[in-house]
Amino acid sequence: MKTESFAPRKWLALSRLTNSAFLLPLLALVTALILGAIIIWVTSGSIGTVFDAFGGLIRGALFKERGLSESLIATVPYVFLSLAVAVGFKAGLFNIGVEGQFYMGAISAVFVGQLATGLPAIIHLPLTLLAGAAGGALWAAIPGYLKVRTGAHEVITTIMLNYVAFRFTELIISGPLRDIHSTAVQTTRVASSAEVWLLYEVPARLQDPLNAFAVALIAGFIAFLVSRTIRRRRERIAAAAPMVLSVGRGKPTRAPGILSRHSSLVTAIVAGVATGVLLPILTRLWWPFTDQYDRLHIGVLFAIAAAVAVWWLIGKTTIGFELRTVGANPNAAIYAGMSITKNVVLAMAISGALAGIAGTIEVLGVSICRCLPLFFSSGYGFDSIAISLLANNSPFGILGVAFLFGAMRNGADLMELSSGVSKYIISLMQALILLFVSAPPIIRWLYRIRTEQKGQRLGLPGSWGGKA
Amino acid sequence: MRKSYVSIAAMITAATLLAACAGGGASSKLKVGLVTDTGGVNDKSFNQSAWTGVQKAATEFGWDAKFIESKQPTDYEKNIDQFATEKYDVIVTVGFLMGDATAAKAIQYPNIKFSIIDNAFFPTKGAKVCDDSKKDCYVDGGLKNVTSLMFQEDEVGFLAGVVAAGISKTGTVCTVAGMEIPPVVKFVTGYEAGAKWMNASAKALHVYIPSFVDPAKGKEVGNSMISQSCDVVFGAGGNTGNGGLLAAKEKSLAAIGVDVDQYNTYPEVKDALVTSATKNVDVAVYEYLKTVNAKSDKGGILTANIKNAGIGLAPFHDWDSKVSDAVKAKVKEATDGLKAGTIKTGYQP
Repeated sequence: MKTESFAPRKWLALSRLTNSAFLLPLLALVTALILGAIIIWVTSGSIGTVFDAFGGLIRGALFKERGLSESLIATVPYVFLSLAVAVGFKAGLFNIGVEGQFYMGAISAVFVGQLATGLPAIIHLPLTLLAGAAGGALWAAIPGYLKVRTGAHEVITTIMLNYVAFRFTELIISGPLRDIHSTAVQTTRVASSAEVWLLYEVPARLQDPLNAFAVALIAGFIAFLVSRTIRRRRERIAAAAPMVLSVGRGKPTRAPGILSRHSSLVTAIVAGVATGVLLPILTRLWWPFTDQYDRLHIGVLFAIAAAVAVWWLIGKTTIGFELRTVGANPNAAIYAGMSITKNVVLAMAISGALAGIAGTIEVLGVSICRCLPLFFSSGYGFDSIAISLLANNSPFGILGVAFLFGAMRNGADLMELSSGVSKYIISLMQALILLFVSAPPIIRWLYRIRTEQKGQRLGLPGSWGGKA
Repeated sequence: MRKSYVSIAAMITAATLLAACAGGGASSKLKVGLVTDTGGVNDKSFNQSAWTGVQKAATEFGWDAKFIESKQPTDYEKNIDQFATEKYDVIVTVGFLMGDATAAKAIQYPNIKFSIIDNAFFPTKGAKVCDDSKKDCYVDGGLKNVTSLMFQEDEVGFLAGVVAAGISKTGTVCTVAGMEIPPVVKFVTGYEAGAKWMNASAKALHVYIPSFVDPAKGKEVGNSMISQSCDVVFGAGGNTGNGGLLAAKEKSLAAIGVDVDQYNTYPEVKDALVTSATKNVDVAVYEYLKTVNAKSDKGGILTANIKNAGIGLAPFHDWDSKVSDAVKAKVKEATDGLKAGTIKTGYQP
């Protein structure tokens, strides 16, 4: 066993790769694609069809007009929903109710988006997103609470609440929130101030000083975070090696001045002002997104921000530490004085909030009527469970895998058009991926990978069948 | 050993991806694309029927025909765009729910011919595409390249109602309806008017279910109305309505299908199936594509009604002997009345 770690140097990179948590998902993906190709080959009887199919898939997903945009549009809900599932997994919870939370988020957002009018976008859009998050969070908190208080397993309760959510939104859409002027069954259009901006609209939107101010605030905030992180790291290094520093200088360091003590704040203000002033001008002069039919929206940026936020929350904060501890070993968590009730409900709420935001962005940015029609999402939530497993619950892994699934979903249509292969082959390949990821021995056996690696924990929750 | 397997897998993938990029091809034939709604192309109902019409025209005129099924409402624009960017010449969209997306894309691609089933465009206050400053969306509202294929569902619904009230023993007939959108409302209104016309004391029940793809719910609703003594179930709502037909069949009662002759498309319920209120979507689509082929299409609304046989009752099939001549005579009378305009279905748009 021990000798493995002393493998010859030239295989070092490879052995690191095989030890990494990404190898099995990667091989699962590759194997599923190969099997998919074989299935296409066998059913169509021609190898040419395989090339046509994959050619169509890739062209549709990436290279055709608006292809990449459409892939990204499908990626956004996948990212949010997979993050939602991942947060649950981290706390040992299997939230399969993200689809329902997506709906509850969407309906809450529609409510705030259309009822609160006359607000500037800087308030209205965040408020609507918040409403969507709250809708999803409250909906998800219910099974969390039920689990702790009554022992009802979240797998059962979340999936049952999905149907309650579907029927509830149907009721709201066809009843109180229905657009009486439209003959279609859908809610009224949300106010323009609540819409998620299309990238195409950004220069025009930024001409409004309030919007520019909002962007400046965000830029300032990001600059603040980055600058503070860098400074803290530098201070930590300095604290760890005081000798080294003092040797070089020869004289004691001066007390820091007011500027350097608040350097993060200064950076933030500079970055914010610069962004707020320059961005509206620059985007007016040059902006890459000029196609008014391109549906790509700034939700893509929200998705990236969400991944970073989840990574930080789970990995870097006390809250995240408690969630992970409760997930990894509830008994240890209790012993350490952590509240199971609080953490389980909180994990479900965070998970639901992310799902709710996904629904909100779909309503405010993608739906052609900027409203909620009946049958809005179709399987985004369920695909996201697979994405989360495949990404090993890593927020940044999720960004990648979600894009893969979004691209496959989007490219599937052109695949079918150009090769005649049914686009359901994509679902089949995704199912194979999930199968391989959830049953690692198949892949290990297939590629003769030995099993001694540690940390080979896939995302299956510890609470499955047990009691947290 | 293990490294070789890994690298083989990597190489195969790379090769597949590279080779795949070389795919694609072009042809000079006229290309027609059909975008279904979320029901899909095998819905045993109007998506399927539309596809039949497209295929018939494509075979006859030697065109290329393809379809894309929509997974969800946000896909409509994307799917239409898929055909448009692939240089299709004619795009047929199925269903009322695709109205907004079709209009937006028709304006974006003025050189592509669009045809939408079940949706007509009228100037609407505050509408994005064709607001009320326009007189006619097709003429001056930017939708010159759009042809709407409309059906007077209330007329054929009326005939179905006449049959239903004619064979009902309890005097109560009912409808398992889909989403409450104009084509469905027309069916229901016509059906109930027809039943009352046939038998003034007939009772008519209906429930709208906000889905076209939920047969379980349809069956449940059907059973509940059957328990309120309904003995002829009209299923007007795609696959949801099919659930109503199944409920009637399981209780050995009578059922009336919708959109297509469901005796052929849903043989599981043929024992119960008296007739179907058909919209000959395939005929309408085919006739439209024929005008495209003859280059005589000019956009606007084409309406199918009893008069031009674009809609009508399907044959009684196994029930032919069980439907009395008196009822058949009444159906004939109603048909003539609707044709002549002496009978009104009472539907108000």
